[in-house]
Amino acid sequence: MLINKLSLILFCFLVITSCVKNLDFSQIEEYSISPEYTVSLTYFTILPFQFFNKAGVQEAEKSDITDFRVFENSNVRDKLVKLHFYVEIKNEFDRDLTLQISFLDDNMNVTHRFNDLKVIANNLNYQFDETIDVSANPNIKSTTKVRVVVIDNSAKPLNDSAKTEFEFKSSVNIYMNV
Amino acid sequence: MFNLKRLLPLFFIVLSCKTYSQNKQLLYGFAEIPQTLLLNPGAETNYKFHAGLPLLSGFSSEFGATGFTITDLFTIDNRSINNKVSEVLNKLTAKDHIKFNTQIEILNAGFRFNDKNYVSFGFYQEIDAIIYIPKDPLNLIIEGNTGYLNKNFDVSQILFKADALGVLHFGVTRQVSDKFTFGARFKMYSSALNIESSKNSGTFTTVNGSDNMYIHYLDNVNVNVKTSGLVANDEYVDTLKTYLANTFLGSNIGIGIDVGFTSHLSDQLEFTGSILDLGFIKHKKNSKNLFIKGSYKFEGIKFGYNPDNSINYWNDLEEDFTEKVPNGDNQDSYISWRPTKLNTSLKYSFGQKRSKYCYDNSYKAFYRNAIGVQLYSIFRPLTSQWALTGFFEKSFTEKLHAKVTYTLDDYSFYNIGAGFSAQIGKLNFYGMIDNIVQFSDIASANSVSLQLGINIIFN
Repeated sequence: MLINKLSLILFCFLVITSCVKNLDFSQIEEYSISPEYTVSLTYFTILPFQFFNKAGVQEAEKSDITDFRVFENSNVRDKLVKLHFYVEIKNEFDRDLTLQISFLDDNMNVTHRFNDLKVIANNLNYQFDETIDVSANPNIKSTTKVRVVVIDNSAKPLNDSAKTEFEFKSSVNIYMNV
Repeated sequence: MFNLKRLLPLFFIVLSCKTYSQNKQLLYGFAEIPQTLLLNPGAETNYKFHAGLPLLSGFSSEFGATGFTITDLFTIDNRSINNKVSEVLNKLTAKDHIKFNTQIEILNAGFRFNDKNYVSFGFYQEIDAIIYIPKDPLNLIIEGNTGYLNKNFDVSQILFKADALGVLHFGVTRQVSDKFTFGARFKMYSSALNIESSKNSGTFTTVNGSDNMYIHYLDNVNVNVKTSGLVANDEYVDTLKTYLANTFLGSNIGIGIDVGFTSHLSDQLEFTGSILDLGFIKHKKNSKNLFIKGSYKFEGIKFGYNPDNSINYWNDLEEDFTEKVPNGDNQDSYISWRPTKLNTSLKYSFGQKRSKYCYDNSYKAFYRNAIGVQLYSIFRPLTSQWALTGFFEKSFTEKLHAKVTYTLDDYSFYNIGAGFSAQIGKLNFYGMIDNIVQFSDIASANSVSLQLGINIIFN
C-alpha cells in the first residue's frame, strides 16, 4: 500500500510540476504543402525534307502525337491546381509557320487547345506561355494525349535539301496543393 | 486545448519510463536495482531472489529529437503552421533525427544459483524507431524542383529503421573474485515488425537543357526499403493481436548477447563496462522489399514526325525507364542488426563507511557517497551516438539511495537527472527523472525520459 501511495504521489508531483506551455496541436490540420514541379515536355526539330511524303510531294502540315498519362496518377489528378506551359520556338524557315497544340482524351476529344501559335519567318526567339487554372478547366485532367501540328500555309515550294530548322521546346510548371 | 495540454505531460510520463535501447544513465550501476542487470549483466547483486511486478516493473518509452522541439512547431504565436514547418526544415540537417522507444516488461526475475552465480531471466516487448530527416527528399516533396535548378537532391538521406519485437533473455552473473564480477545474457529476438531503409545512394537533378528546356537526371540511384511483418499474403497486417503474437517465438527470429563486468580497482574505485544487444534478426517470413536502382536522363518526349514509322513515345519512355532504372518489390529474406550499445563507468566512493546485509548472512561495506563518470554509445544507421555523464550518488541509509547526473549528448548540453531507490520490506521501489531542467516545459525539450519500477527482492 505504501508503495502504491508513493507511486501515486510521484505521478501527481510530476503531473503538477511538469508543464506544456501554449501548445495547439490542432494547427497541423491547417498545414498544407504547395509544391511546384518543372518538367520538360515535348521537343522536336523539323527540317524541310520532312514536309515531303514518300511520293516526294510537299505537304502543308505535319502532325505527331504522344500519350501523356501523368494525370492517370490519382495523386497528381486530385491535387493539381494549376499548369503553366512554356514554349520556345526557333523558326529558320523562310515562311511563317503555325503550330496547333491540342490536349486530347482517350477518345481523341479535345480537352484543351492553345490558340494557334503563328511564328513568322526567321523568328529565332519566339516564346509563348499559357496558364491553365484547373478549377476553371477541369477537363484538362482527362488529358491522356498531346498533339502538335506544324502547318505551312504559304504554299511556297520548299527546298528539301535545305538545312534550315524549325526547333520546338516545351516545359510545364505543375502547381499542386496537398 | 485544456485537456490536451494537461494530457501531454502524462503522455510523456507514460511514454518515458525505462528504456533499454536508450541511454539510462541514472539506472546504470545504481543501487543494485535488478533492472541494472539488463544494462550490465556483470553488475554486482547482493540478494537471493528478485521478481519484477509484471507491467509495473517495466513499462517505458522515450522520445527524442535533434534540431527542433515540439514547441517550435505547435506553440501558439499567431504564425502559420506552414511558416513554422518551413523554418524548422530550413534549420534541420540530414544528421538530425527523431527517435522513439517504448518497452513493456512482461517478466523479469532472478535467483541466486549459488554463492558465485546469480541467474536472471525475463521477457519484454519493445518498439524502437529512428528516422533521420531526409531533408532533400522532403524539400522535393514539399517545395518541388522549380526553385532548385541545378540542385542535387540527395536520396541517400533516406535513412530510417523501426522495429517491434519481443526479447526472451537469460543471463548469468558470476562473481569471479571479490574484485571482479562478470556476466553474460543470451537473448532471443522475435520480430513482429521491421521496416528499414539504409545504404541508399543517388541524386535527382534538374538542369537547363540544350535540345529541350530542361534535363532531369537520376544519377546512380539505389534506394531500398525492407519490411517484414508488415505485409502478409499481399495484405497489410493491421491487427495488433497479430503483431503481439509475433513478438513471442514468431517466424522472424534472431539471437544476441549482452556481456558486462564490474571491477574494483581499489577499495574505493570501481570500473564497469557492458556491451548490449550484440545480435541480429533474420527476416525470412512476410518480408516485402521495395527497390529502385539505376541512372536516367530525361529531356522530354522527342517527336519524330515520321508518318512511316509511328512511334508510341510514352510506351517507349516507360520501357526505357524500366530497363535503365529497374524497380519493384520482392520477398527476399534479409538480416537486420540490433542497435548495439556500449556502457562504461568509473566510480569513486568516499565518505562514511557503512555496512549492509547480504544474501549469505554476511555484511558488505559500502561508502555513503560516490562520484563518477559514465560513457554511453549506441550504434545507429548513420553514425554512433554518444553520451557522457557525470554523476553523484548518495546512500542515506542501507535501503535508501539517490543519484544525480549531468549528461552531455546529441539532445542537450544541460541534461540534469535525479533518481532514488528505496526498499521497504521486500519491495524495492525506484524512480528517476531525466532532463529536469526542461521538465517545466516538456515540449521545449529535445528528449525526456523517466523510469519507474517496482520489484520484490529477498536479501
